[in-house]
Amino acid sequence: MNSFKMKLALLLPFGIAAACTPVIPPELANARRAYDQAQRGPASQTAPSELHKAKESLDAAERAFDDSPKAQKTRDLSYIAERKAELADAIGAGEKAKLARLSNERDFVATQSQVIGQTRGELARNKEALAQQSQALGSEQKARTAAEQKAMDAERRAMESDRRAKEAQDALAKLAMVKQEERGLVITLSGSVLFASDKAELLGSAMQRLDQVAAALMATKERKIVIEGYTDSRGSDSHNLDLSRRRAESVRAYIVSKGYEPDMISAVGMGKDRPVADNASAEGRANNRRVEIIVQPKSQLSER
Amino acid sequence: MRNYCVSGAIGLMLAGCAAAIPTERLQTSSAAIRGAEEVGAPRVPQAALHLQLAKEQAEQAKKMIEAGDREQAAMVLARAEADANLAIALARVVNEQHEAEVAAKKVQDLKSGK
Repeated sequence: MNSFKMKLALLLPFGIAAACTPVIPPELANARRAYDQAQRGPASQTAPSELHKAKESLDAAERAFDDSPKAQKTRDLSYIAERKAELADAIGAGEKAKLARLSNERDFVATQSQVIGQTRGELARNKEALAQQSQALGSEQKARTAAEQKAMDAERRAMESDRRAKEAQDALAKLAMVKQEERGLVITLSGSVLFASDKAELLGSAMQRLDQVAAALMATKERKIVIEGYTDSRGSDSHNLDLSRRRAESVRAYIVSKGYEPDMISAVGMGKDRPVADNASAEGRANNRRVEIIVQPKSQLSER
Repeated sequence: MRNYCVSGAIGLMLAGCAAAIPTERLQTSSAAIRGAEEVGAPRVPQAALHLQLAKEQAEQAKKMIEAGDREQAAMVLARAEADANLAIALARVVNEQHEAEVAAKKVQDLKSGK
């Protein structure tokens, strides 16, 4: 009994509290929760006026609850407040989606113009590449032209060399008798011009002529030269051979001294052999006393 | 006697007001229901549910009006209207979200060069 009283005393405050606190209708609880959710949603940013209407609706429900907690009106207003909170939330979400769509559409336009820009850029790059290609083509052509030019230069130089050789021949022709024979280019120098009678030493006056001959020979430096000395038919053969050999040697030595390659030039005494004129007359004999410089044709180069 | 008259006038006015409110509510709530149907609420599950609630409550209110319970009918119509408006908003959200997704996909497709 005592124990029951104690329990009752303990439970009493809760009983009073329960009696004082009116039961909240589920509609109002739902409305409060819905409004709380809407407030935390996008509506606060995108649909504040709708959220405000929902708040007014909730306030009306709360007032009705304060006036008459159990009335149907309280439950109806709470029901409406819940729907309005949900409405605000939905409109907020809708506005947010709309903003996202607008942003995406702007992004689309921007991307499109970017793509157009890129395409233009590619076009420009292609053009540039094309220009470079044609430029490369141009430089290739230039290189080809340069090669052609080089070939032409070489040809021109070859012609120049031929021309110089010809000029040399012409120069020689003025100094002495020049003949083109089977054995080569034969330059015939008169013995009386080069040497005193029965002597093998070159005369001072002969030097100047030989200088010109030597200079002309330099143009054909790469060819072998044979210098042949000749006499007339007077005197002994051995003397004539010896004299003609010494005279040829003198001429050879002189041309070598002017810079001709010694290996490329040889001297031979021929005596009275191979006369070019009749030894019966003085004039004929004078013609037979001679030195012949034979410039061998190029083809004979490889013979030795 | 004078007192009765005043009371009677107030009573008539109240009766007049009470009579006017459901008619207006009836119009706005049925307009909201039509609107919900037009924005495609029946095809959006959540919106379709609130549209159904709105329709049921509108029917309920009509019966209440017929029964002469105008005050109660006005409140039920307000509930119906709130449901119909919510149905409209929910259907619109789905539409907006779909359009936003379509727009996002277009951008993505453009960027990936499709």
